[in-house]
Amino acid sequence: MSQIPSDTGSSTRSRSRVLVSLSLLFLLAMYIAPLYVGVYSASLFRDAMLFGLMALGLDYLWGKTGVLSFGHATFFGAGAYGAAIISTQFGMDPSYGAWLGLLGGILFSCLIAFIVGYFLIFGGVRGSYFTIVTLALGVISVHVVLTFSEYTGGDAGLLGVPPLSFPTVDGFRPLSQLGQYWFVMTTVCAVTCGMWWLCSGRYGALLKSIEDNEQRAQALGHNTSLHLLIVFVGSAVIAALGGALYASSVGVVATDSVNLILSTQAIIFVAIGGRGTLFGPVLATVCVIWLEQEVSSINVQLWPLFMGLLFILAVFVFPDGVLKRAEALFSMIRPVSGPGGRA
Amino acid sequence: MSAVLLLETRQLNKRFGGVVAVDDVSISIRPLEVKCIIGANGAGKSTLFNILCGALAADSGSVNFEGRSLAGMKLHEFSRAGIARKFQVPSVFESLSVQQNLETSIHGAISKPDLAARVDAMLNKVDLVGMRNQLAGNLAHGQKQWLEIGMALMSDPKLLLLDEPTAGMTLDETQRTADLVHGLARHAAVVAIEHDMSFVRALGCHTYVMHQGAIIVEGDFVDIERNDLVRDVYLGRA
Repeated sequence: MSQIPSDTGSSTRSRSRVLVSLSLLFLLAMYIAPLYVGVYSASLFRDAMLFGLMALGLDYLWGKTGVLSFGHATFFGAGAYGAAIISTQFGMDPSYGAWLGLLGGILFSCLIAFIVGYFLIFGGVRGSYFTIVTLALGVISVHVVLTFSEYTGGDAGLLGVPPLSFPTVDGFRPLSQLGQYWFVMTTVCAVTCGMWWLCSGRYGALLKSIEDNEQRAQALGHNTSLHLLIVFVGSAVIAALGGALYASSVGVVATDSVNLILSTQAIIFVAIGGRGTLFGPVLATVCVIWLEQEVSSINVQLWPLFMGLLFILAVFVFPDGVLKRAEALFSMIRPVSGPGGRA
Repeated sequence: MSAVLLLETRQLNKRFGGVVAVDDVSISIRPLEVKCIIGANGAGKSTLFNILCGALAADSGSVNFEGRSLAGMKLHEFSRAGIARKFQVPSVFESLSVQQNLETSIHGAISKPDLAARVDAMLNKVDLVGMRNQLAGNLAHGQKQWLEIGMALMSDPKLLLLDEPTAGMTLDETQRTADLVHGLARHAAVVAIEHDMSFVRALGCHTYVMHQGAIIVEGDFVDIERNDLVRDVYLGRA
């Protein structure tokens, strides 16, 4: 950054100051929102943020390395089912059963991603072939859930997943609705910021170089298959964290947290939010789910129409996502950024 | 050969279906040596390079680097052993800045000040200081070629393979690239594939002539230019 001419440098800095203060205001509003909008709306936002984690995981994979997974609901679902089965089927005390479930769900998803990812990535499967195989993964996982119904509850799903408990003055207490909202909000913010920080430096550039020209990156000494596998497993872990927290917050897990529709939605969230922006997909998820609620309350049949419209808009009007488009509008109002100012 | 060989190939063969792309090629390169491989299109030069840098496996024959066999090693392991390559088509990472291109050209951990110092030194060496924040995709063709040479050099290779480094360059740029290569030869051995005779003449090094996959003549470029066989199969009909 030090090499950028000073005028561009200072305006970039003032621009990022505005962005940071806007984000902080937005965060503060999100933190105090449930006190005004009520518990029901708060739980809606909470669930939306957890789906946002799934979108974040997918963006880490698709946005940063260009590898598109069409089965990311599998990892969300593996986290959710893993957490639900461990915390309800073994008669554990919910105060620690919920935490073990969270951990187990994430490990379960991690294992699936490692096995599938190892054979695909080290087997040289890339591009659309990778997407198609992961699509099959999504189909398989629904069948697995329906087949092993004595553990998964089949079509009915699993009920009574306990919420996470925290130590208080009078022993372990499960989180209240509001507590869950704040806990989820904090976790999602921390993970998103953490991923952004991780990808902001040389590591992000390395992933981008693999997307640009993988063979070239190999010829420079990078073990690209290993990098891609780590990203794939990492993205599954983030999605599983969302899934496991979803199970413990909502208390119910059903096939709609593994099915193909959810995988498709994850892709749409990332496309609308802007591939590779990390923050964008999380925001887009929350906005789209909120919009779904509003539109469906007018007429349930309107929503698929809206979703299709949004997707067409995402492809034609803002192919880089709403964030980038908003940023472009922002710099039109305050013409500050010179060419290459963000490089 | 007095000194220890850096790279040695013995009877390398590679076929694509019925086409013999590399036919019984045995070459050797000593440390800090500069060599050229010339030949018409389809003579098998790039295939030979692909075998030397690990992108292709030979059907038979051996490649030894510093006395070790490279058989069965992966592309990134060739690079870590000390073989760097500039591809024929400039393949810089177009969506990264010039600086990021150089930064990603070192694998493994490196401290921030070390990395910054090496990137600065390389930007000077390949004359791209003013371009460091530009996207590599926006560079002129000759600049991309230089950036890619810089990327190949970031890991301090022992052997640098240049596949048509001056393709598409102006006369002036070609001359400067020849100077650059001579400068590089103080730190690494260089093998260049070239079409451009003015570049090979400027390098004035030991040269192999490939024809239909085989090496037909080798020797100093001045002698090669006078060789009747070479004139016949290549230079005369160029």
